[in-house]
Amino acid sequence: MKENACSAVFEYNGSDMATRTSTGSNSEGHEQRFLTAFDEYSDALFRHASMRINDRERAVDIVHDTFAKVWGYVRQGHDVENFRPFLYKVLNNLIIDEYRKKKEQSLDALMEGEGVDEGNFDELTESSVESLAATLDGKKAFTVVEKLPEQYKEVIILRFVDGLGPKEISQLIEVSENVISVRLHRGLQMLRQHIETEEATAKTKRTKQ
Amino acid sequence: MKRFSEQFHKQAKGIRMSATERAELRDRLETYMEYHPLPSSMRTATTTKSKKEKSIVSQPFVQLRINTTFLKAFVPTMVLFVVVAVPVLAERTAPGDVLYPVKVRFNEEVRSQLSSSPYEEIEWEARRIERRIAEARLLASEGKLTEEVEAEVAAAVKEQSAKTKEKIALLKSTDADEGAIAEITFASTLSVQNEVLEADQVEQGDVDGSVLATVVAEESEAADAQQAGAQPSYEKLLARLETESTNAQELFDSVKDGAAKEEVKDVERRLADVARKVSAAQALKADADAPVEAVETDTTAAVSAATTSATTSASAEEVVAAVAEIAPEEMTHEAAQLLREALVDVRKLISFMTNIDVRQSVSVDELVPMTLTDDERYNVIQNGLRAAIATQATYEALDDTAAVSEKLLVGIEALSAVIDRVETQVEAGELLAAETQLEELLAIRDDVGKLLRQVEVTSSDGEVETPEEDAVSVESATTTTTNVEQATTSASSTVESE
Repeated sequence: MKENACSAVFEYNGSDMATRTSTGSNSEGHEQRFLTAFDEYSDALFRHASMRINDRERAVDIVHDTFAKVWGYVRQGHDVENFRPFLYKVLNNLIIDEYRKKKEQSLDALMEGEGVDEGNFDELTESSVESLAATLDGKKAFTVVEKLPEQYKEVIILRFVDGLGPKEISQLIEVSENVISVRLHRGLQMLRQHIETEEATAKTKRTKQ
Repeated sequence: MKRFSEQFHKQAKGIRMSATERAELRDRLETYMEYHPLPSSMRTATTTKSKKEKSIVSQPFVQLRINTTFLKAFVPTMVLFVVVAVPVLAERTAPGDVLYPVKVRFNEEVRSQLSSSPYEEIEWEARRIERRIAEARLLASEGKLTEEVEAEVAAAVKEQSAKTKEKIALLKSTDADEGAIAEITFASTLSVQNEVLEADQVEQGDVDGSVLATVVAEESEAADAQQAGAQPSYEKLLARLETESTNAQELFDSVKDGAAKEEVKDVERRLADVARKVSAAQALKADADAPVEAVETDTTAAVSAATTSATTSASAEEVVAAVAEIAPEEMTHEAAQLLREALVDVRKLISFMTNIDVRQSVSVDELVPMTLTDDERYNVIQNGLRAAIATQATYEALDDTAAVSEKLLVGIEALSAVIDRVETQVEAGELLAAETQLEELLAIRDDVGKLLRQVEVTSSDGEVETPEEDAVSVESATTTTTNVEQATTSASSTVESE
């Protein structure tokens, strides 16, 4: 289902990530625009990578690789109009590659392992996600987010850390918006469970003491 | 949800790269970009657009970007430099310097073109000769005057002289008087330079004379001969002299504060001499003009007198003859000659005052000899007379027994005769004639004085010297000046004939 990061760069052509072949009309130099994008998005990309893979040094490397790949794309003559979604796309692919290297198993297997049924989401809407989120404590949720399975962590981070909308996320990870909503909903539910588990554990510890 | 979202986001914000990590990452990326640069086609199209504009556009053409703001400031500065600074710097150059051609071909030519009249132009051309010679002297003083450079300067002087002569000839064809005056001016300039170079040669002990000195001497001689034939009118000479005198006076006023006292005195005296010459010329001219009217009135008076009285002794013809003893034309010519002398003197004085080279080489006396006033002339004559009379008295006081040679007797006789003549002339106010006689008088007095001393010596020794020895001694003692020589010769011939 997923290709590696490099090939994905050339396949993706979403509306917000429209690219075109350079015509020379751009008055600002490619290098300058590219470095401006680095200054603007490198921190956000690092944060995202860091939260996804829980390895600071590796996160820095991945951010570097992300920009290097995008630069390669620019060198091939493509003019990137909006760097942000494009950078996220490459970063996401690189993170998936990283998971593959770590877990030596496909994402499909992962998904199957988690027993996700992404077909049943008729009842799920954005409002239901919002109402669920309203019941959660953000601080506590942040501490347990790393415990979520990858596909839930991915959408939760993209949604609540990087501030992407369901549509953008769906374009980025190439699944429908409904699937995103389901994942967000389930992800939040999982967070609540983890928080409750944490709280129960803590309570048990306190009573024992 | 908003609260959850904010809280979650706030927590996530805490995750960030340190400044060092960020800088290192950027460096890595930039290095990567350097090693993986954009293809040249893309650089040409977009990325290196600004760089490209500074480089070669296509093979045969080079596109130059000129900053107009810089240009606006730079161009006037350059123009100012070329128009003002270069000519000013060039003025201080000598042959062989980089800017020397600017001085000769630009500065001097422009100045020549700016002359308001042909006379001024000729004046400037003459001044250019002065400048060439001054340059050569400057180089000589620095030990840089090679033979080649000297030959060049000599050629330049010749060329400049020829150019000036041409201009004079042109001026003469339109205004003969002005041309003649220009000739005089030019000759005086060359004469001053000739004096200066001669003084240099004397100082250096150079007997043969340098190429430059020879050229200047030749040119000066030629100009002198040329100007001798020029006959400018009295009026034009007077007008020019007035202008030049005013210039000289102004120049003198401006330099006298910084000059040595003696020099100031000398120049002041020369200027006074010039003024006197001018007054003398004016008086002569007035006389030259007056007789015509005076003769007319006198004639009328005489004629009327003759008609009224038969006893009138002087006839009208006699009056006319007496008054017109000197023709008015001659007097005017003489007046013009005086003015001419005065003009030459003024020009030389101006050269002396303006040219430091001239001042250093020659004294004002060498350049413009002092002109004595009538009183001074009278005093000189009187002194001469007194000396001659004293010699006469010495002879008269001689002992009767003293052996007096015939030569001495003849000498004393001649001395007495000349003394009488000079006294008569002085009484008649004929100073010029008296001065001429005075020279003869002094020559005879010297000879007689020597003979007298010999007589005194012989009488004290008790021996008589032979006349042959006298003749030899007189001749040997009087070879110094031409006048004295002539006087001696005449005295000797008289002795021999007797």
